[in-house]
Amino acid sequence: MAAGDVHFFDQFLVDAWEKLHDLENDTIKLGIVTSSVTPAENTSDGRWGAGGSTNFSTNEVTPGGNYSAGGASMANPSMTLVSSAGVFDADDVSIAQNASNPTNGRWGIIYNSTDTGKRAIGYVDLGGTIDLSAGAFSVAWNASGIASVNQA
Amino acid sequence: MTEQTEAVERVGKPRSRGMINVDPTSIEMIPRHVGRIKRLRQAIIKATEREQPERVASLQAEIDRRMADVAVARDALSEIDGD
Repeated sequence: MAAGDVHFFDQFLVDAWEKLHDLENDTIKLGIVTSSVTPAENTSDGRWGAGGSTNFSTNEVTPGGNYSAGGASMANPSMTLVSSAGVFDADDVSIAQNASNPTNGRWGIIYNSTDTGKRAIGYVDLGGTIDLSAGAFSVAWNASGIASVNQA
Repeated sequence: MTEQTEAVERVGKPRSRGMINVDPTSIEMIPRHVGRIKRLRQAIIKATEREQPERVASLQAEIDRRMADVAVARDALSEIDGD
């Protein structure tokens, strides 16, 4: 995997079709976790909190500075139709540098903060350990969007 | 007999790749701005139909912000014409 690679969790591919997510109107967030966990597409029932099989919030970086517990919001999430594909997109994420920011981020966990169970949607490879105290942190999503649902 | 498609082995390839801490210039952000602005405009149409004025305003604000960055890129390129 390389920095910036985005993956959906397998469980999300089912949850999305069972009305457990409203990707346009729910609050979608990007939580940052340390290398103490390695997410995978087949990670079982990931959550940002208790209630599932994998609780990513227990691996969250220590909040501080401009990083608040739970991570940053992915503002203006949208689902649009582009050439017979449903494209999920959201605003780019940025966290300004601060000496008290976390120093050991490794993965970004995309999750639904509105959902009672805070179900995880996907994850982003940050490419290595990221020290947010040393410089600003930013995620510029792909020009074609974060992910798409295509005809089989 | 029905022809069945052989299952494709999934090797966990990424669905998309974004930029992490690249600090792209306004010019480097153009492809991202173009795609995102198109999708934001589609989202505004939907939000308008669904009578979601706050969402419309938020989406428009993001369009405005990205258009401002596009203008920065355009100004940078126009310097070439001035030489």
